[in-house]
Amino acid sequence: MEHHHEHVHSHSVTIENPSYFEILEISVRELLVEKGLISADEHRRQIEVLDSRSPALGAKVVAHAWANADYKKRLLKNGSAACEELGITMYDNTKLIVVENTPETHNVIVCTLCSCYPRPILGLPPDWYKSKSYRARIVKDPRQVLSEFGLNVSSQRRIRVHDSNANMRYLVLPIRPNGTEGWDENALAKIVTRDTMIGVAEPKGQK
Amino acid sequence: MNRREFAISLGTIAAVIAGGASEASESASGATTLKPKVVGGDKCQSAGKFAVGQSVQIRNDIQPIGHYRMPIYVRGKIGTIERILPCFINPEEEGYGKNAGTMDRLYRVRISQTKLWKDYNGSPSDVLEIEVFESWIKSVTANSTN
Repeated sequence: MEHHHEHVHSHSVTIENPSYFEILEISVRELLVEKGLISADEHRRQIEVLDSRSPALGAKVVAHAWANADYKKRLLKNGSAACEELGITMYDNTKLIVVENTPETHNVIVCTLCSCYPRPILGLPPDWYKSKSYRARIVKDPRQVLSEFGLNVSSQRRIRVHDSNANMRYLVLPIRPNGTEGWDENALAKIVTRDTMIGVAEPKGQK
Repeated sequence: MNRREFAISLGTIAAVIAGGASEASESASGATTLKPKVVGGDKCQSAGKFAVGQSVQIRNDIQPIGHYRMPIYVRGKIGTIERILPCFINPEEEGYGKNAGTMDRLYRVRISQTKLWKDYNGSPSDVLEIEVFESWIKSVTANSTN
């Protein structure tokens, strides 16, 4: 079908001007490709791997640990190796530490310097995790911040805040809730949400 | 794209270079997988200088400016070694060639929240735990102050 419009369809050809950092990233990447240090396909594949990860992987790990005491021991001793047992690779040269919630202790994770997050096992972090407000406040007033998430931690329980600022990544192993006796791992995994593995929520037992 | 997203993009590139993306190397591209140049690894063959449970102070006598991974809110604070971690490349100013692939021992240090914040109003048993490179840690002496 022919068009005889005089005006330009500018909305259909809009290309955003790249920002300073986009230009920098493209320059560095293209130089590395040009010099043969990485290939464009490897770079593309790495993004594909990154995007393929989601909290469902972490939920699978937690459910397996709840159902299998020996696996739980291995997971707490060496998080990375235990994840690899389930086929989950820590592709980014970080190592995973799993911290266990108990009736005496509650764990919560933050990265005050940036947004360090166990991406291989949880995927991309939520926006609030990257916010300056969460990063600044959770280390100073964890009980207040957790209550804003709807989680009131008893004053009898110790709170351990983990500031993830270097090479380790952290996953919270929540307490298996009452009322989940006899559930299979698939049913258990469904109640293990992203936030329960960051430590700002607790899994609920009722279906 | 902002500064953080840029850093993450570079992280993706770094993961390819470090060969962390073993899945990526399945491609038939033929590109050589590079390992980062590492020096000073011998120092890290031995055990760390500090022991689990030992009282230590995070240094505050150096106040470098630039890409440093030691948040200011814990500098000068006294805590205990929670666990000893492997050695990693010291990332501080690495991008400017300062450390040139130097390995440094990493620890986790546990600090009481009431020692960290003078107006802390949670439970006295609450703690903060953070990764600290050996170069940022010193032994606690009798006259160490918080």
